[in-house]
Amino acid sequence: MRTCTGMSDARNGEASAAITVHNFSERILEQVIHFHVMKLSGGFFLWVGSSPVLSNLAVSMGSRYDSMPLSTLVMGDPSNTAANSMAQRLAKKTKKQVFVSYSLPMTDSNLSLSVEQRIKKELHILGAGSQHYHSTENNE
Amino acid sequence: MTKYLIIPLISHKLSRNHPGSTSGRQLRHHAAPGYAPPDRARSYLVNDGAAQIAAEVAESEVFLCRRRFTLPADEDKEIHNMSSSEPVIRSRQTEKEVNGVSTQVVCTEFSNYIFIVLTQYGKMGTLISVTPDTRSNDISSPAFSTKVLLGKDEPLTHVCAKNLATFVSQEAGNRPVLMGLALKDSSLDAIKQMKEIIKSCKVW
Repeated sequence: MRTCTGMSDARNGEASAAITVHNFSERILEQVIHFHVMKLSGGFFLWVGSSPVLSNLAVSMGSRYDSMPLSTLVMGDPSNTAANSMAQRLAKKTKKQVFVSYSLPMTDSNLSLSVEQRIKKELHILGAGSQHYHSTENNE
Repeated sequence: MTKYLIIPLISHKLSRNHPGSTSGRQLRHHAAPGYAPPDRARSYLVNDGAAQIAAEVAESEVFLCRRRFTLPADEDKEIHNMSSSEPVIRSRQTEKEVNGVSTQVVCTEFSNYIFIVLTQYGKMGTLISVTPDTRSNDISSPAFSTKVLLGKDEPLTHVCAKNLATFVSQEAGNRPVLMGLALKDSSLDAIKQMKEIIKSCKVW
């Protein structure tokens, strides 16, 4: 039955990729930062924080009209631009639709830089698998 | 690279002063896996009750010291990967067929929100927040307001979101629910089935 569903999806032209969830933590500058990634079809949701609170949500995706991806704040305080800017940078780098929730204080720029480096490292690890999948598809 | 401090071995002194009863007890290693006491320590840990106890204490103290005095190579930017045992964000997911359409549900718990992704497209879809009305303090169930945060604002979207998320909010201590909804089939029968799927991914 699963194969039938896959075939009908293929006919509709949609990839029936399963959503995957990853959790990881990192000690950055004497703080434990937690990361939660939900990989979707054509994009991902990323939550960063030290305690399990959803304080804001920004979404970003590339457009053909601008080199910088479009970005908007869906939830949270507009004066905090951290989620927006991170979503934009990740959307530009990954060329996907990116949802970011950033629940860390913005006071330390070293912290946000280290956080972003850690995210890029993890996305590279996570994305490496899917890249291989895409290249196989192209060869077929 | 980590450096660690080793406490001078107490067992060495004790084994001299208390010539031992041969207990022959196997020494249990309480230290972290992969940690081995230096050979010098081990030679004093054999067949001497007091020495064994002292050795165990010394071992655990060495273990503690190793943890306490771990010096990162680059103090400013040490990014020490922690594979934590329990993730801070609890989530459960499942994939089921509803009327022949593959449906994925991911429920994620935050302290102030329940985040539910219910999709038949593999994507986030329309983002809707379902918020209980905090004003009603009496026993009757509170009213719920739905707001489309991202995506097409249609009456059907509000109806589906309310139907799917109300019970979640009530069960989760009146926490608001953030829903990502991407449905091909939004018939009443499908919604009822999806409600059951959400129940099976309970994280609240």
